[in-house]
Amino acid sequence: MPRTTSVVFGPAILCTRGFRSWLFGNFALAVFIVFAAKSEHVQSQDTQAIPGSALASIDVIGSECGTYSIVAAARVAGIDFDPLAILDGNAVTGHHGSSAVDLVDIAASSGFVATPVAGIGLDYLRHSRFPVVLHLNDSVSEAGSGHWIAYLGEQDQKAIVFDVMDPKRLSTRSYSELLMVMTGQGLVVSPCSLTAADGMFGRFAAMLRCWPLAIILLLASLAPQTWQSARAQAGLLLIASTVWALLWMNTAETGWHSNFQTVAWLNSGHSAIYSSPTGSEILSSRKMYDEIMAGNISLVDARNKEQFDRFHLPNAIYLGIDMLPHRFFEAASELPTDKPVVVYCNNPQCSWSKIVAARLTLAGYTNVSCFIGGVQEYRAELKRREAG
Amino acid sequence: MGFVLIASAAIHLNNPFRFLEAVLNYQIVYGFLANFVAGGLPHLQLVVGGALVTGVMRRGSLLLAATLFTLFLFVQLTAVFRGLDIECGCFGNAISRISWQSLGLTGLAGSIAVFLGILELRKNSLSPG
Repeated sequence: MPRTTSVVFGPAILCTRGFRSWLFGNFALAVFIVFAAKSEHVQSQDTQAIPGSALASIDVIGSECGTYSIVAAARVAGIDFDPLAILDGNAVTGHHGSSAVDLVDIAASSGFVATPVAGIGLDYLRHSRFPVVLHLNDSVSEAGSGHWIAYLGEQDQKAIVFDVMDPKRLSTRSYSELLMVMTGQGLVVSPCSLTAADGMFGRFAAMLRCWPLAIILLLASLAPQTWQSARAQAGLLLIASTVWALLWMNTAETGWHSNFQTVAWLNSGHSAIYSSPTGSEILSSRKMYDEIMAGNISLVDARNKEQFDRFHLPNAIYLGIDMLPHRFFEAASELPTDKPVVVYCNNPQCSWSKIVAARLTLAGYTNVSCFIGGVQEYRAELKRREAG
Repeated sequence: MGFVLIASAAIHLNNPFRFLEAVLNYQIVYGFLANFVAGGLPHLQLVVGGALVTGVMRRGSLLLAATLFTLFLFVQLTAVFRGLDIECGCFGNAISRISWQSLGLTGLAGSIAVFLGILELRKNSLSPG
């Protein structure tokens, strides 16, 4: 095997155990050098270009999230175009809203470019030179058909987001919350076609962090020749990966340490289904009715917005299962702290009340209970009382 | 096989919260264990994949690769038998749901790892000294 010295990729010289080690070392370092160079990021102050009041005055229907997002992104990108030509509603071809193809066509007809990209993650967003229209998964949409928002830059290490379905429209959200609901697909909005470097971020952004791997393998390759058994080698590799994982999880921007709330949010949603909320009491419909009439409790509706608007228990507050973390914690902060909180959903088969109760525990509420009977048993109790 | 592991790890590291969601969807581990699996597994994939590509600690990396693929195949099979229609968590959106495709690919990769491991052991047992 040829042993080649390289002045440019200095540390790779040490990877002399075979050509492949040298090649991998150079590859990892090359990726690091290319992607470590920070490109000009979307300026957060450009968000002032969005005509917030003009957009707020237009009634928004659920299927227009894509067109509004692309308008907001194009404004921040400094593109000169007529937004009302896009917002007339004729460009949306699907019943549930715009497809990626629709948005690409909308951009082309208005004189700018929307480039579809897959594999969008934190690194891509933070290094992007242009705003990105992001596709969110079905869990954030009442129609269950996904949702579009616009990523417009960064402020105080949080993402600036334009979401037409958010009452505030423009808000900042933690990157971890964004990652949680992103599908990884989106459209980069730019005045002209993206360069090859822009396109590469989507595929290789995460490889930016791979250079420590070359160091680990270098150290592993220097292990004593006596460690020939498969188990000894496997153990060493396990130890190396565990150490690196612990470092990553506690230091990276998407590490557990800095994003424990998102991690707890995800865990609460799943584990709550199979357990009762800690410290809670399951209330009967009779006691529930008496407590509601007396005004002794704070009621929380765990169902989605559509169900809440159709019918909800008296004085109940909407903190639905479909709420994103930042909105949930904002709304939860308005709950009175001097009364016990009772969460309900549709019926005994519905587990949403347990999940929302677990999330309220995350928000700091300790006196949280579930009314398992839900709307179904409340209505039955109401009928019983009316019948005498 | 090494590049497959590296590609999968890169996707998971790119969005660790979606990978955590995928781990939780299997309904096998929760809480701390789910965090441990979702947080540590991509790094193990990356280290093993890198070791396979570079030939460093070949025996150990093949053993770990075979173990990973076999465990993943087993986990997917349990999800199928329990009737869970969930994302496999393999390569993000490239292979979305657990299907015969994901099972086949995982089984094939595991078989290759085992075969190469056996070859490696035979090669070393036949070499002089």
